[in-house]
Amino acid sequence: MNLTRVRGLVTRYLIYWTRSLNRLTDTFWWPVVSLLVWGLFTVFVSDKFPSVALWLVGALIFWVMIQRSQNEISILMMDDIWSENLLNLFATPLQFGEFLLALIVVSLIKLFLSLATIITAAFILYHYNIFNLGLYFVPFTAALIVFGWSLGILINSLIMSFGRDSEALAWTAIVAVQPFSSVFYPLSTLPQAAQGVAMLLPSTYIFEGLRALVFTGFLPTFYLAMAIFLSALYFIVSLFIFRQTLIKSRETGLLARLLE
Amino acid sequence: MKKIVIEVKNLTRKFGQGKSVQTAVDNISFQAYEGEVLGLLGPNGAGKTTTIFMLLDLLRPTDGQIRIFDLTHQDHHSEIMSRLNFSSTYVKMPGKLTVEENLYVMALLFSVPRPWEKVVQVLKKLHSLDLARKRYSFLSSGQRTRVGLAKALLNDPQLILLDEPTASLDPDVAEATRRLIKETAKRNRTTVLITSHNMAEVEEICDRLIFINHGRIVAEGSPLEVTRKILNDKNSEPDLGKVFIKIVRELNT
Repeated sequence: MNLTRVRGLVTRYLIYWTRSLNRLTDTFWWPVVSLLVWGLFTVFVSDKFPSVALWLVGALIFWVMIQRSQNEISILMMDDIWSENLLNLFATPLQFGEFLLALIVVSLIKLFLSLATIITAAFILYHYNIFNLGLYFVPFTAALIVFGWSLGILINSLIMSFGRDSEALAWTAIVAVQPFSSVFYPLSTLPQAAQGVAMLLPSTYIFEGLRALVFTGFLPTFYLAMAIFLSALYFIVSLFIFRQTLIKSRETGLLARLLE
Repeated sequence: MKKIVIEVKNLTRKFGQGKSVQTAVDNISFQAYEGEVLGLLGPNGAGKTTTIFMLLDLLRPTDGQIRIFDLTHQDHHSEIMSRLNFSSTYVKMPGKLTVEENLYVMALLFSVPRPWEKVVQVLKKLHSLDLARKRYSFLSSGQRTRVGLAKALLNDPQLILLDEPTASLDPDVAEATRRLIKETAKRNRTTVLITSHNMAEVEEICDRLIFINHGRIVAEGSPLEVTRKILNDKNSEPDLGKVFIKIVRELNT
């Protein structure tokens, strides 16, 4: 692992980000707009459904974590493809691990800024303090972010396998995960078959656990353990798949076609 | 004895499966030596870019072997890539970064010591210091080609792969670029593998040529040797323009 190469990529992604209105919008504008919409809805339902209102803003903040961490990993790579620069990167000594580490570092920096903005806005606008969750905030946040990265890496593998026709996955794939993750409603709301799918996602345990914590003040350790275990598992599997995809795409010629 | 930098043996690359298999590179073998400017020529679709992609390990051969600096990509990919560089007019850099920022990043990717100094040095060498603060997206195609060449010199490579290095360049800049390629090869003993459609340029700078057509080598040698072989003539001067036309028109029919 050569950290100079990682620094090179991180530098480039960050310079690009500060000069791209689209990417700045992704980082700051959309999370804040989502917060405004859901925050106002929370105000609207707070009299009739106080328990729902108690959860919605927090759920949104946690959803932003997973969505942004996935989006960043995928869109950073797509930006390289769109700027026809990926060949320049792969025609250097850059290694698979260094490329991924750079994506993760940049996504973490941008996610931190997104979260700082949305958490501050939630506190100012709706007096919602996510840190009231105490220390549980840390492992759940870590598990969500790692799961978001895993999805991003898996989506990148799909883009490498199927080419630019599949680039819409960079934005849309995460939307398919949301209904199963029980973000805004309990797992029991889902149909039985969908619950089976939901139980395979770490995000389900994270949101169920957080909901239990908010409503009862008690966190079942099973949720926390499953969230951490599944997130770690998804991350390891996604790394393996991405590496294999890269090797396979060199053999099939898909990588070359993507780079041209 | 000349030192071999690239050694390609029975290299084959096929695409597709079953009846739709297409052979882009068909059992070619060649060597490139230290300090040599080797031209890889042929019509569009001949297999030049596929060969370059295999040399860069962006594409794995279906069959055959590639050794660069007597190493293989399977075992020494990073070492090989740190000692070579590549430039193509068809590869761009992020447009929102300035030229010097793009080159600085590439210098870091090659772990170049004192990267800023090196960026200034290569831009000076290419008479392109005036471009340093310009955003890449604002450059003309000729200026982009010069920046691509600057990138290819950043790590003082022992092997440079150049795909159409003077395409889109004004004649005077193209001439300066050719001079630079020749000087780099002679002074630093750098091996240069070059593809070009400009036959006059190839005659001027290449020590040796490999002509490929339909993935196969059809002629190999100095520009004069290739001219004599393909034209069946006892020319005293190389005439690669005629050679190219003959290969495309006659050998294809």
